[in-house]
Amino acid sequence: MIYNTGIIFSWISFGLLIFLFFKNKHIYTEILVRLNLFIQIFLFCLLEIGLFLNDFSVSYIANYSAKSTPPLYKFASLWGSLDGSILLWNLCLSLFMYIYLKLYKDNSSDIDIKIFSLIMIFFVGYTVFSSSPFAGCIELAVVGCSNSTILPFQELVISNIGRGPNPLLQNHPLMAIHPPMLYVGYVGMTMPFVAATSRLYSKSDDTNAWVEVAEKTTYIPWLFLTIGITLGAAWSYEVLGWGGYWAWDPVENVSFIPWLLATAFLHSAKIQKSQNTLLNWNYILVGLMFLSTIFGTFVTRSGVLISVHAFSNGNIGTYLLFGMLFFGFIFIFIGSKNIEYFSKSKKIENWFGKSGFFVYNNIFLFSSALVIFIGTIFPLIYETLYNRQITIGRSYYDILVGPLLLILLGLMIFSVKLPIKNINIEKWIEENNILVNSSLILSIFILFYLNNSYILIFTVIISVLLIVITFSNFYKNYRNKKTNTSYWTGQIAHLGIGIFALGIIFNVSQSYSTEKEINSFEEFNFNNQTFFVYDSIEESLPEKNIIKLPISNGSNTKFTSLNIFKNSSQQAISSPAVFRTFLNDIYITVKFIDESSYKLIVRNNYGIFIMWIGLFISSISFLPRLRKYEK
Amino acid sequence: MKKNFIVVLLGIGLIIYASTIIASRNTIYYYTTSETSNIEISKNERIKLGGFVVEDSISKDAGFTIFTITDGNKDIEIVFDGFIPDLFQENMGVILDGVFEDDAFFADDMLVKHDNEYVSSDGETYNVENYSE
Repeated sequence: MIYNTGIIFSWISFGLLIFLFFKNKHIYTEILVRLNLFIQIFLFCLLEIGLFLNDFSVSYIANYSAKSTPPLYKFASLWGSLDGSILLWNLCLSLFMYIYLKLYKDNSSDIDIKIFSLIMIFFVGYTVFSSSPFAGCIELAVVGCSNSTILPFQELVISNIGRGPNPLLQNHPLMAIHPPMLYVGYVGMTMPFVAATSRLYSKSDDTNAWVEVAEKTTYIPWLFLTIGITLGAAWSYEVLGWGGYWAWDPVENVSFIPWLLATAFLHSAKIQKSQNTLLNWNYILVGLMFLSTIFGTFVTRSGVLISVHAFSNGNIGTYLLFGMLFFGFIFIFIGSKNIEYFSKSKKIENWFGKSGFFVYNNIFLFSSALVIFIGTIFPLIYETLYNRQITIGRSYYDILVGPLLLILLGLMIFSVKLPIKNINIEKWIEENNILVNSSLILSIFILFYLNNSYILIFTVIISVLLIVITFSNFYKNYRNKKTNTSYWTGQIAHLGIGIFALGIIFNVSQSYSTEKEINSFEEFNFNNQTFFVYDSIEESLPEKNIIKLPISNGSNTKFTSLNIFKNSSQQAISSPAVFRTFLNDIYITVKFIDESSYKLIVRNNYGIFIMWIGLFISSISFLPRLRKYEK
Repeated sequence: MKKNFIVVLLGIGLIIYASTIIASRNTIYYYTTSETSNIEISKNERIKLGGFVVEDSISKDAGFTIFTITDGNKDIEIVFDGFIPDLFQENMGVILDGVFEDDAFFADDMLVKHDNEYVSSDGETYNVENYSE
C-alpha cells in the first residue's frame, strides 16, 4: 500500500516538475509549485506513516527501522540513510522553491522557477529511476531486506522484525535535529544559485539586484549550516563520548566548505552592493557554494571514502558527479553571457580601507575552503593514481588551516569600524588606546595560569582584543538606531567567534587524558579531585541494554554508560560522564567492563563550555535582523 | 581584468601546490591485508595495516582485544592493546599500527575511518538470537 502509493506519487511529482520546466503559461507557475510542495509533504508523511506502522514490506523501513525502535528514532529513521534522506532533501527543496516564489521571484520572467525545477528534477529523478525509499522488498535477508524493486505492483515479501537504525544514530534526541539542520543549510544554497543564474540569464540592465537577492537567500541557509555544524560537534562530544568535537573527518569537512564559501559571499556581497566591485568574484562564489553542497553529498554518500573502488558499485556517485558537471556547465554558460557586465566591475582602490579588508577576508576564507577541499580529495586522487590507500594526518589541517583562521580572527578586530579610505594604524591605536591596553593586561593575566606556546599567546591576545573591542562597541552604540541591522548581525557573529577561538585554543593547548583501571567502590585521583566509582547498574529497554556506571566527585554523581543495541551488529556506544566547570570538563568514558572492574578514560578538557557559549552567540546573530522586520 | 585574473590564478595555483606538498608529507600510508602477502616485511618492522573489522570476530582476552580484519580477500587476526576508539565496531574500516608476529598482527594504535553511512553487508551474519536478550 505505502509502497505502491509512494512510488506512484514519486512519478507524479517527477512528471509535474517536467511540466513545470517546459510550460510557457505564466499563470500555472504558482499552482504547480504549490502542488509540488503538497506532493513532497505527502511523500514525507507517507514514509513516516510506514515507519510507525512497521510496514516491513518497504525495503527501507525493513533495513533502517525495527519494531522496538522508540518513536522519536522511528521518526528520525526517515533521514537515517541515503534513500530516505533524499526524500527529506526533496521536501526541503520544494519548500525553498515555494519560499523563493513568494518572496524573491523575479516577476519579469519564469526562468528562475525553471532553473529551480531543473534542480528538483535532478534529485527527484534519483528516487524515481535509481533507488527509492519506497522500494518494495522482494528478497529477505536474515534480518531486513536484501533486494528490492522500484516498480509498483510487484509481489512483495515481508520481513518480520526490521534491522533498526544505525546504533550511533539512536542514542540521543540531538541526532533527530542535527541532520535536518544541515540539510536545510545544504539545500538552501540552491536559492542564491537560482537567484544569480536566472537574473543574469535574463539581464537587461546593470543593476545589482541579483546580488541583493542572492545575499538575502544565503543568510538563512548559512544560519542553518552554522547551527547544524555546532549541533554535530556538540553531539559527538556530549553524547557519543568520542572526547572530541571536530576531527577533520571528510564528512565534517564537506559541511565546513559550503559554510566557509557562504561566509565569504555574505561579506563580499556587501562590498558589491555599496561599491559595485567584485561582481565576477561574487558570481563565482555563488556557483561554488551550490556545487560544493552537491560535492558534499557525493563524498558522503557515494562510498568513495571507504575506497575509490567502492564508487563504481553505487550509482548515486556517478549520478551526483554528472549533476555537478551539468550544473557547473549551466553556471559557466550563463557567466560567459555576462562577460561584458562583469567587466564593468570597479577596481578596488583602497587596499587598506573597507573594500581591501573585505577582499582579504575573502582571500583567507576561500583559501581555507580550498585547503580543506584538497585535504578531502587528496586520498581519493592518490588512490586513483598509485593504487595505494592513504589518509591525511590531522597535522595537515593544523599547519594550513590554523594560521589562516588566526589571520581572519585578526581581521575581525578592525571590522567594528572601517573607513572607506585607507586605515591609519597609528590613529587607530590612539583611538582604541584604552581597549588595546586593557586587553593586553587581560591576556597576560589569562596566560599567567597556562602552559604557554607561541600560537597560544598569539591567539589569546588576538581573540581577547576582538572580544573587548566588539563588546565595548556593542555597549556604546547598540542603541543608535541609525546603524544597519545587518551590521549588528555581523558584530554579534564576530563576538561569538572571538569567544569560540579563546575556548578552542584553551582546549587544544591545555587538555590531557589518562586511562584508569579500577574496581567497584574504589576511588581515584585526577586533576586534584577524588572520584568515587560505584557499582554498575544494568537497565534493559526494548531496543537496547544500558550499563550505567555512577561516578561521584563528592558533590555530584554522574553516569557514564555503555549502550548495547539489540538487533543491530554487536556494538556498544559509550556516553560520557561530564563534570563541568566554566573552565574545564572532567570527561569520563568507560572503555570496557569486566564483571566489576572497569577501564575508564579520564580526560581533562579545557575551554569546551567557552566554545559552546561562543558558538551559541554566533548562532543567535540573526536576532538584530528580526528587529528590522518588526518595524 | 586580465591582470587580476592571472593574479587570482597564480594565488590558487600556489595554494594548491603548497597544500599538495604538505598533504603528501602528512599522509598515513597503510597496507591492505592482501598486500601483506606480496611484500617483504622484516621481523619487528612497524607497519600500518588497514581493513574492515569482520563481524562476530571481536573478543576480549586478558586485556587484549582480539579481532579479524579483511579487505575482502584476505583475513588477518589482530591482537590489539591500546585505546579503543568509541567508533570501533564490526564492519568499520580501521587502520592499525603495529608489527607482525607469526601470522597475527600486534597493534597498539588504531585509527577509525568514520563514515556516516551504515555499513552492513548482506545481513547474512546478523544473528538476532545472540543480541536480543
